[in-house]
Amino acid sequence: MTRRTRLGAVGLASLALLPVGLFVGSVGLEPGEVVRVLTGGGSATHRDLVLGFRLPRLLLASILGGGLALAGATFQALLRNPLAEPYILGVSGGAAVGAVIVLALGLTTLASWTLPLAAFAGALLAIAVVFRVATAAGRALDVRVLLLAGVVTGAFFSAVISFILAVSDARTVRSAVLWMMGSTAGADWQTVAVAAAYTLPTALVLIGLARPLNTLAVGEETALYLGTDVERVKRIAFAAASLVTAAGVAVAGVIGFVGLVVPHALRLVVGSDLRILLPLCFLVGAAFLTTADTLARVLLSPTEIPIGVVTAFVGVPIFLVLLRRSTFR
Amino acid sequence: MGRCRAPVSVGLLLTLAACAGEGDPPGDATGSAPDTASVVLTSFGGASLRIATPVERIVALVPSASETLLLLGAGDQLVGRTDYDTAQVMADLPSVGGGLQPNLEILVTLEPDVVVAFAGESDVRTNQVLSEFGIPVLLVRPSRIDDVREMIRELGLLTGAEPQAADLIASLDGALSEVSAAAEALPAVRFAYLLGGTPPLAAGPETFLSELAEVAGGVNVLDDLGALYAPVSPEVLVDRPIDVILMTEGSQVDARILEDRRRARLPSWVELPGPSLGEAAWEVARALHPELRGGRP
Repeated sequence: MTRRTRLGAVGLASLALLPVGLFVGSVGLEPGEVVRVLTGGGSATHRDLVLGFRLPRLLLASILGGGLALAGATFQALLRNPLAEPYILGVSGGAAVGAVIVLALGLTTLASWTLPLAAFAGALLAIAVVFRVATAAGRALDVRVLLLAGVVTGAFFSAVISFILAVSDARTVRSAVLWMMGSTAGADWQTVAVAAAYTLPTALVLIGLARPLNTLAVGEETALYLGTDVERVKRIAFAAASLVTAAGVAVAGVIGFVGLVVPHALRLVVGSDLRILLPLCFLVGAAFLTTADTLARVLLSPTEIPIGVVTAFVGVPIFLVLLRRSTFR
Repeated sequence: MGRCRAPVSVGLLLTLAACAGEGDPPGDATGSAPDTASVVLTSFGGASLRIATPVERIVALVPSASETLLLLGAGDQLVGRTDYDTAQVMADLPSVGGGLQPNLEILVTLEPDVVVAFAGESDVRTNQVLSEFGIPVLLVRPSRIDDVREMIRELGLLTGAEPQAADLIASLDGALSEVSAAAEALPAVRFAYLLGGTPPLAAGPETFLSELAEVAGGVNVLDDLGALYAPVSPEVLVDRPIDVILMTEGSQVDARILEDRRRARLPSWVELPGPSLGEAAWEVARALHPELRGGRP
């Protein structure tokens, strides 16, 4: 298969997988009934199920999956490190601290938006700290310092979480652990709107930066000689990718493996040109996470499996097979 | 054991301690000399252990076991507590921290004659260390009402308070049959018991919470839940016909699931699987049948 046909096959398969979650779920609905609801008919309960639960959930999973895969590919290019993933700059730790504080103080009973808001604030705090450290070391943004600052900040936040949980009651621990496992079960139109507002514009910005990011992936000095405004590109790309991750964590908790596995797998299939890779990452990330979410709802129904478990169970074997077949670049 | 196949680690949950281990080490049961008085106890899962009597120093890592021991009049034998024991009489006892992964240094220094611990895989190390120190461990796992009866019986044996234990079980059973009789004339109520979270954690049919509601004329709509407690897809909760959603006070549940449905919040002590289950059954009965409110205690 040529690269072009592989590209087409991956794209088509992803498009085909995207709507499956509307038709399949923990409750058995006839496909015809789903179509009736979508065309304005159907019973009240079915309308509730499809339009109130499945559709927002499908959209949220698409936005999150796309955003995480895109952020992962961006971080891998910027940090020139194959282990980079969306949470590498301590975003998940910061968000979790915000969430755990809200849970420990019992503030979730005040309003449902207190938890996502606190998680978002925590994520932004983490980003701010890491950036301050990385830029304070010199006028330029040093990616090695950024990476180290991110990992260390993440470790600090983990310690804060462990401390808070150690002195909390059983109910707080239970809620916090369930939150940290990540889930799209809380998706409604409001969370979809928030996630879309943060993710879609920033995704476009990142995809627009594909060409300079390509030169950066070779090396900062080379990029500079090729006429790239290295500092500006780095700052915008880091900020955009972090923002996408922060918004995702705020509405659905920490969902692992998408940001790591999807970009690498695609690189093995279609090569590492970011002009193709970044938009494809968004599409495949979206299809991957909606599929994982559907499996999470269906496999042990009525029980729901944490989505992070499914992304790992599905993503890791596929990735290992691809890795074995190809030479890692 | 096929009973517990929770996909998530609900083991961190004190009241919902995780899967049972078969053949857990029963502790060092051979330490007692044959000529001294002793009692043979049965841990959850069937392992037996021999403990020299009288037992003078007890630490219970299971809050409902501490509550039971207090009601059996064995409060003086308790030499430690966990952070989850809230009884005023235990406030001055040294705490070993949580019931799972307790502070072993403090626990061993308390020199207990016996430790009452959760049965299961969630804290294997504590049981290992205790048996290395020659401290016998009685394993309990109050998941169902029957397990609670068993726990009360064993703790009665342990403290030489068998008559009191029999009384506690009798009054528990008495309350359960009263509740059952009161609910008999009333229509069955379909319920889901949600412990909060997203997706919401729900009580399956093999939990004491579900059993209490069934005694009170309830029908658990999540009777196909495999695990004791498991997160349930919101779709399922919207789709199934539910007359009332039972929730603990302070827990957070998606408003779209609660929409247009009767809901009842239960005090958090209802979730403590001990001798108070009789009163808990009345609370649950009143939550299921508003017409019972104001009728009985």
